[in-house]
Amino acid sequence: MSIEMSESENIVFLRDKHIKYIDSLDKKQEDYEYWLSEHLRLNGVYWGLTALCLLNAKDTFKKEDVIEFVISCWDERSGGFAPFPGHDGHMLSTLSAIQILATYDALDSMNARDIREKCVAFIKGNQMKDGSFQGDRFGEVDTRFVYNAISSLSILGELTPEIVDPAVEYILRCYNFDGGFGLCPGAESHAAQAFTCLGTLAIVNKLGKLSDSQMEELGWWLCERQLPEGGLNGRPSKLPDVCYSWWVLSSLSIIDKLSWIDYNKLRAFILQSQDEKKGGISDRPENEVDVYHTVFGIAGLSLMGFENLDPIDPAYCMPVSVTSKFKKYPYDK
Amino acid sequence: MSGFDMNNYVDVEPLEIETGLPDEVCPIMYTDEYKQVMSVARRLMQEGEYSERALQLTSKAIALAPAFYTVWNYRYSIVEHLAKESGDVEGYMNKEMDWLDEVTLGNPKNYQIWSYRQALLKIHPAPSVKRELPILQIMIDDDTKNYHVWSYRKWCILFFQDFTNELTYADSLIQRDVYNNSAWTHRMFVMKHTNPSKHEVREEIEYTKKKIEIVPQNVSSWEYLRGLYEVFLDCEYDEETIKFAEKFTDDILKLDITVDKEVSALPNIESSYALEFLADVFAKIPSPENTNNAKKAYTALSLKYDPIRSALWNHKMGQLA
Repeated sequence: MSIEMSESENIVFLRDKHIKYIDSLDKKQEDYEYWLSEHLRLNGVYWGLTALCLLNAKDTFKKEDVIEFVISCWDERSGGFAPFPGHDGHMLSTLSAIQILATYDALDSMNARDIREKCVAFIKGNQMKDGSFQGDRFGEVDTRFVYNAISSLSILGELTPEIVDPAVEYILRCYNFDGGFGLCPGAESHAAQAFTCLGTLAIVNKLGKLSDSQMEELGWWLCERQLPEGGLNGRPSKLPDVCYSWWVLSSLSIIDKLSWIDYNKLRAFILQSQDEKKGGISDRPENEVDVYHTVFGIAGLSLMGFENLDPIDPAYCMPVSVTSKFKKYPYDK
Repeated sequence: MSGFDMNNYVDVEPLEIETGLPDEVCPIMYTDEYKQVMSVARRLMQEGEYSERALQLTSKAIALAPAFYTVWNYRYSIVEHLAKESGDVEGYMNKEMDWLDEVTLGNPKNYQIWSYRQALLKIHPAPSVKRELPILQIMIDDDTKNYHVWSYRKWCILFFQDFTNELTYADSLIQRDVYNNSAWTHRMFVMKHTNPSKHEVREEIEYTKKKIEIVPQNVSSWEYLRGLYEVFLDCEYDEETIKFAEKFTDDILKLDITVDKEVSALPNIESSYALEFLADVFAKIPSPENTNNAKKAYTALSLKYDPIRSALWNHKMGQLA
C-alpha cells in the first residue's frame, strides 16, 4: 500500500500526546506487564527520558527521583548496574544508568561508595580474550555488549587502547560478505548490529578501519532495508518495524549516507504507527504502542530533521546537547 | 521429578525488594505468588544456598518470569554444585538439559535459554551434537528465521566442529522458503569454514542459480551468488553468469536508457536484483561498453525498478569513470 505524498504530509506528529504517554508509564504499576518487565526497567527509563529530551520536555520526569532510582539499581556485588534493585549487574543496564546520569549531568552521583571505580572495573572485567564483551559473568557474548562497554567507558572518559584496540578488531570480524554486521563473527547481518558495530567504531574514532568499498557495501545493505511502503526492516524479507528507523538511520548517519533513504516515505510510516488516542508509537501501524518504539521512532524523525525535534547523536543515541560535552577519544595527553 | 511446594521454604525469611524510594514512585503490585517466590529466591541467592529445593524454586521463578536472568545465573551455580555432589555429573547434566528442553519449547523468543545451554554444554563431560539437533529442529520449525536459534546452531557447529549436516540442513529450509535469508547466510557460514574446492564453489553457484530460477526477485539468493564470486573467485565473473542474469532483465540494456527516458517506455522485468547484479558486475570490470551498461542499469533502477533508492543509484552512477 503506497501513500501519496500529499496524504502523508497531512499526518500530524502528536508531540503532546507522546509526552503524556511517556509520563503515564511509571504510573501503571498495577499491570501484570509492568512487573514482568522488571529486567528492562532501567533501560525503559533511559528510553523514556531520551524521548522526552528530543521532545524538549526533559522536566516531565522528576530528576531527583530518577537519579535516586538509578543509584538504587547499583549492584555492589558485581559493581555494575542492574535494571532493577535486587537483580544482578548487567552491561545493558549499566549503560542505561550511565546514559541517564549523563543526561542529567549527574555523573558525580557515582562518586559515592566507589560506585564509579567499581563500575569501570565491572565493565573492563567483562572483556574477553578476543576483544568481545560478555553481558555479565554468565558469558553471553555479542556486539551489543561491546557497544555497551565502549559507550559507557567513553561517557565516563575511561577508554584506553588496551580496551579499545581488541574491541575494534572483534567488531571488524563481525562484518559480513553482504555488507552488514552480525551479532558475532559469522552470524547473519542484522540492522541493530550495524548500529552497535558502527556506533562503537564512531565513538572510538576508528571508522577509518573500514575500507571505502566496505562503506559502500554497508550503505547499500542499510538502505536496502527500506521497503516500497516506506518502513525499514531489520533483515531481508522481514516485516518493517519502526525501531529500525533508529538502527538503520543512525548507522547511515554515522557513515554519512543518510540521504540514501526516502525521508518522506519513512516519516509517513512512523507517523502512521502513532496511537492517535493515547500517544506513543508502535512497531507498525495498528499495533500496540510501547516506550521502546516510541523513542526510536522519535529519534529517527529527529535524525531526518522533521518535527522540530532536538538533535540526537547517532553514535550515542543521546541528545547532542549532552554528548557534545563528552571527552573525545583518543584523549589528549 | 518432585513437584514444587511452597511448604519446603517455610524456614526461609523472605527478602523483599528495597528501592529506598517513597511508595508512590515504585510500589509494584505483584501477584501474591510472584511476590512469595521471588522474595524467597532473593533470600536463597543472598545466602548462596545450593540445594535441590533451591533448584525447584528457580524452576518456579523461571516459569513466572523467564527473562529474569539473575535467576538463571543462580540456577547455573546450583547445577554446578549439585552435579558434582551427585557423583554422576553426566547423568545430572542430562537431566538438566531435559528440563531446559521443556522450558525452551514454551519460550521461543527468550535469550537466556541459549546462553544457558552453551554454559551447560561447556561443563558437560560428554556433550553430543546429536543431543542438540532435535530441539534445534523443533525451534526452527516453529520460527524459521529465529535469530537466536540460528546463532546457537552456529555456535554448536563450531563447538563440535561438525559441518557434515549443514548444507543439507540449510537446503531443507530453503526448499521450504526460498526467501529465508538466515538459511542462505548459513550456507556462506559453512562454505567459509570448510575451505571448499573450486569444483565445490561451482556446484554452489549452480545450486544458487536453480533457486533464482524458481524465484528471480529474491535479494538473498542474488546476494549469495555475488558473495560466492567475491569470497571464493576474486570477483571473476564469467560470461555464463552474466548471460544468466540478463535472462531476468528482458534485455533492457540493449535499449537506449538516459535519465530523461519515459518510465512507461521501460518494460516490466522479472528481477530488479538481477539488474543490480549486472550493474555491479559491469561497474567492477572497466571497459567503455561495461561502463555504459552499468550507467544504463543504474538509470533504469532509479527511474523504474527501484525508485525508492534513487539517491543510491545516482551516487553509484556518479562513481563510474
